[in-house]
Amino acid sequence: MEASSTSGSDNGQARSVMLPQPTESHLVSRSIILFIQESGMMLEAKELTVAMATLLFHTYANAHDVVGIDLEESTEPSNASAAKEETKTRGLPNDQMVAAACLLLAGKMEENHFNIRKLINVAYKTHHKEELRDINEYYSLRGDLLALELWLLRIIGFRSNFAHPHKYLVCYLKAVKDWLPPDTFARHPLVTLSWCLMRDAYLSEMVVREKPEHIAVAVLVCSLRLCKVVVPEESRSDRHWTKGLCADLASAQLDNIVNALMDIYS
Amino acid sequence: MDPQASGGDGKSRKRKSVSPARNESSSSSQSSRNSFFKTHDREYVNSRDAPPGPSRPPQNNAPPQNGSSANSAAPGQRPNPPSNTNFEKYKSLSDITYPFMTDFSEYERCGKIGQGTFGEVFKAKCKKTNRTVALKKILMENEKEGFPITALREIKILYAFDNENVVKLLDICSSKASNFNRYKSTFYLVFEFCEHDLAGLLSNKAVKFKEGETKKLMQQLLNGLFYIHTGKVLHRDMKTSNILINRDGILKIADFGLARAFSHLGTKEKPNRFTNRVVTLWYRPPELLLGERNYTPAIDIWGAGCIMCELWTRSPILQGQNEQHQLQLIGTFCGSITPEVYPDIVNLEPAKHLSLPQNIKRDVKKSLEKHIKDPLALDLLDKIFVVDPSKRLDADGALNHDYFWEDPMPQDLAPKMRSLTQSNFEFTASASRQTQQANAPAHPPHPHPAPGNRAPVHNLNHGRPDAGVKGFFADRVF
Repeated sequence: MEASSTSGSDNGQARSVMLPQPTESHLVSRSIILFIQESGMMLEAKELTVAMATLLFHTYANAHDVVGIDLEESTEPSNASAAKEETKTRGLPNDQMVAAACLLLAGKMEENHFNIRKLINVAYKTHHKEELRDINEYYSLRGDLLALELWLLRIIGFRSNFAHPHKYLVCYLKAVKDWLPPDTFARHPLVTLSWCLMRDAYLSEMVVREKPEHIAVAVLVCSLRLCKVVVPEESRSDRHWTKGLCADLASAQLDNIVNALMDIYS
Repeated sequence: MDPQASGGDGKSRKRKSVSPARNESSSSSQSSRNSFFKTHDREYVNSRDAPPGPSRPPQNNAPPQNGSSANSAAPGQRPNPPSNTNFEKYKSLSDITYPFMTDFSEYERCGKIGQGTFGEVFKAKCKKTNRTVALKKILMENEKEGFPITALREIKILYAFDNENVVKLLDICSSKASNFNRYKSTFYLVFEFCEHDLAGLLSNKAVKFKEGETKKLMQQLLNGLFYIHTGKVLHRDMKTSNILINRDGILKIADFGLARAFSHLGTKEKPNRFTNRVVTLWYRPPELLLGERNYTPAIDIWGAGCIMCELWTRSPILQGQNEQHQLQLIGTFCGSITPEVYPDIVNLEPAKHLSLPQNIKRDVKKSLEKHIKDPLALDLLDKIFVVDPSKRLDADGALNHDYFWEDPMPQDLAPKMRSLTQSNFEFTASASRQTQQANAPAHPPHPHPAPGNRAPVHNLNHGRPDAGVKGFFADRVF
């Protein structure tokens, strides 16, 4: 606990160079992110709202280590077994609750406000695959959700502006469209592919680490490679063509992000 | 490399304690989350068993006076038993240190300088930097939807803005969550401190502005509005008590509690549908009163015009008692509102049910002549008080008006502001006036100051449920 709180002060730098998470937690956050995306889809949320919710969750997961909350401290062994039986049918697990709070907050941040009742119902249905029927349970879930929202705000702390890579991607796609031979975009599903890759990129926690414009370039590079489209550039030029889109992206870093993107599918 | 590696280790270990996906494998992690969120039934029993009343702290909703008291109260005391939720389960969250959030205890509260339904504003001092700041409490009492979206908007907008004439949001701090506040921490926005607000200055008869100083005030106000509108934000609550002035004579637009960003100006094909229940009634432009929802930054310019008049008249010029009355006042002021002067009125459904004054000739300059002598100022106001928002001057057009470029030129306000020894706030002005009237020096400021010659409170509140009725206005102009 103490070690984590001392590292908390200079967290911004520490987090940006942190190695990718081990596979286990990688899988965990993936299932939660999928939960967020599925709930978002059922709520008919905008793309950016879901993206924001996943960003919030990744930020929470990262901050969580720094803050060092150990919920096991509050365990009381005597009633553990009794409660264990209940959870199979009732309520939502912690991370799903946090994810729902992320969605609630993201809806407010992106001017895509959800009805809180609808949100709870959808989150419950997404997790349990059945409707929430008990009104008392609804009220307790709602109380938890509202408390969690405040707690989430304190953990995340209003720090970053959370820019999304989507608008960069749109600009870059347009630039590349004018760059490539006229029929390239008609023959290859570059736009759709990029958009899918972008959504999947949010499964990895690199979305909070990397700059949004860098992620957009990496997504574009990936989709071009997958379609086997080669961007025409001067053969003698020592500058990679991506520098034209985003000058401060080193090629080594680009490779890193592309690898991280590909890791999502491994 | 070493600390990073250990950080990575810690990450995986701690993630384990809350992650649900491995609850099949580890029963201990399951029990941990059970005890955190899933113990409702047990807690219900507890809360019924708990004796109601005596151990309950007197004000369970009130935030702790300072952070440390909230902390010390926790261990021995029985949690406050509410009707259907037990907040004991949030206790583990209350003892954490939040590295990204300033704690409320880092600020020392000095005194209250504002009050309204939006919350309370305090003067405070940062213990670390010794800087004087203003703390605005985010009110969450009646929020069924959680953290208020208006506060989020305000934070988002103000963090993105950086202009001399827009108030700066320095930080956000939160009080500790404890059983005193039902494990709901209170958030405060930390603003730079400004010594005066315009309403307070204008109600202080001793403060007189020279022509050049009036120009400087207006120029700064329009400059701030220009910045806000260029940043695609509508302020939606222009009024004198939201205009702050510091002792260096810099004017700052404050209170973005009703502000919102807009992505495009509404068009015929794709109109915006904002709420028209915004802007304090006396500063509300005719298009909002007529029910327009596809409004533009011009609504703020109308408010700026009202504020400009107030620099001479020292009290709001159009003090309507309800929306209908406000429209009548505007009608007598700027002439009848007809389809000829405002073509879009035929598309506004609510406007059809209103009876508007007919056959009044427009003469803005003449109605203001009594108070304002400067012909250029009158000309500028004539161009601002245009009923049709599309023909109203925008902030840029107003700044280019000859009024700001003819002698006397805008003049620095710093000397005048430095000469004032006391802060002038609308809140403190009305409170002190009230104390005088009550002839009781130790009387604490009343939460809803309602001094005499002013429109009745309930009427004012009409149309703006979330706005505080504040104000201190001695006399009427029209």
